[in-house]
Amino acid sequence: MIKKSFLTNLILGLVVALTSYCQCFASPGSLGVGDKAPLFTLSDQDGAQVQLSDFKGKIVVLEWTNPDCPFVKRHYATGTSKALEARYREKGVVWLAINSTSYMSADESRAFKEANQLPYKILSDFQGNVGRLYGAKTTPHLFVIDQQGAIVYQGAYDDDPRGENSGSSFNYVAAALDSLFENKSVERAETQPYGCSVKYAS
Amino acid sequence: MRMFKLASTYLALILFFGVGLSFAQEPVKVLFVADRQAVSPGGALQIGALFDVAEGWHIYWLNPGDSGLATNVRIEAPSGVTVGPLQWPIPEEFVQPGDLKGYGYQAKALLFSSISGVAKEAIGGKLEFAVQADWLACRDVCIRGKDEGKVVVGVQEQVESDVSIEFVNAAKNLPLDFSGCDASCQDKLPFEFESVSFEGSNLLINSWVKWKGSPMVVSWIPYPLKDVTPKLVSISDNPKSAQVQFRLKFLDKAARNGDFSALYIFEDQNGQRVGYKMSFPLSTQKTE
Repeated sequence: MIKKSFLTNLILGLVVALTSYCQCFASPGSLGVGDKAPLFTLSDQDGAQVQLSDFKGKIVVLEWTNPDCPFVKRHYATGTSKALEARYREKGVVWLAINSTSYMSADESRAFKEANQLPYKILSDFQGNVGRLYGAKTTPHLFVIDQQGAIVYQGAYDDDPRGENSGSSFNYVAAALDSLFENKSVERAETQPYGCSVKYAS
Repeated sequence: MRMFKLASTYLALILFFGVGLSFAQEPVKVLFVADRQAVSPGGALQIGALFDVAEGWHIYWLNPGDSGLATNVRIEAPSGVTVGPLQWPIPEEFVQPGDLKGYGYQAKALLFSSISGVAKEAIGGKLEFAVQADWLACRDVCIRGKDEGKVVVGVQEQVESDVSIEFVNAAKNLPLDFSGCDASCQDKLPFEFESVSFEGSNLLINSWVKWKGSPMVVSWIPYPLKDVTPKLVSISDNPKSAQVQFRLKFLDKAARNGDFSALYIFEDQNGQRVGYKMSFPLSTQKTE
């Protein structure tokens, strides 16, 4: 005879599994601040598999990138991304770049990582599935996920799309991360991202 | 003869692809221009940047859309001379993969400003304007570009020079500000704005246009407003009217101020387009 507790656990397990499954298939582009960040599995630039669930309990920054985009090139030339990643890595923040550029391959991501001496992975999303799921519009487009797996910020790096105010621009990502470490709610939780359009496949 | 044909074929191919490749490296060429060669004190003068965009590429309007970067033109005038606001012809809308909307220009676009304040003391001399332009040109990749130059215009007591056709055509393609359209102006329009309603804290705005004659095709392009994300919900039309419904998302509470504006573009059955800038007050609307 099957024990009641086993059946209860089985039902609960099915409910949890179905909930996770549904997260993966959230309506594309409909994500907002406060929503659970959809789980995904992508390969990095060397082909190693990376799952968002690997970083459960940690703060994660997702940075949509495209090595061909002049906005991305500018941020890497000025060291915006690397400096931010280094500063917050010490506090346990995980930084993942995602390349949803349809005409690229892992080789280009690897070359970009090496050329810029990046300490973090560039994940391959050339079919654009994860990009569309998150509603990533531009490169760069940043998402900050808190320790509970919720999106607490999404949008631009800073308030300087033309790159004319380096040194005096306000960095939204840093502000969001600082708020998390100070146990405060993120004041500017959403901004209009700027950059090249994510080069999704037609 | 055969060698000559072969050589000329190779040369033609090199020139074709060479020029083509060269143009693709620089998908945008810009000329800094005046609408006339000379101006009289108190007379009309326009200075601008004429963009020539390679096939398949586009540059961006004042609101670039989901991505991109607004084209920027800065005109510096001699002391005492005033440069008016930059005029933006009605843009085209394009949809990129990922359902990403963009607004901008393909082929040619002239962005220009009206100049005023030319003094009588300048008669017999020349006015020199320094113009700078920067832009983002995109196709399957994006390239930032910039250029600068000078435009020199003579000052004469009386001027009878023809106005450049580029400026004449650009002026015809400028949107009209509906707020400046009084009763006599509205009588001449082929439509009338019937009403507007506002709903909710993330404002849902419903606007209705009624046709006076033949129905027209309506398109809607939002002007930029800091920390406000507009989204077109629907355009539904019938032979008598059209409803344009859009939602405004406020990314910052302080953004709920001033007016939100959108460009309503009406196209008749002959393909003629006219655009009207419509403005909607935000601060007077209820919050939940």
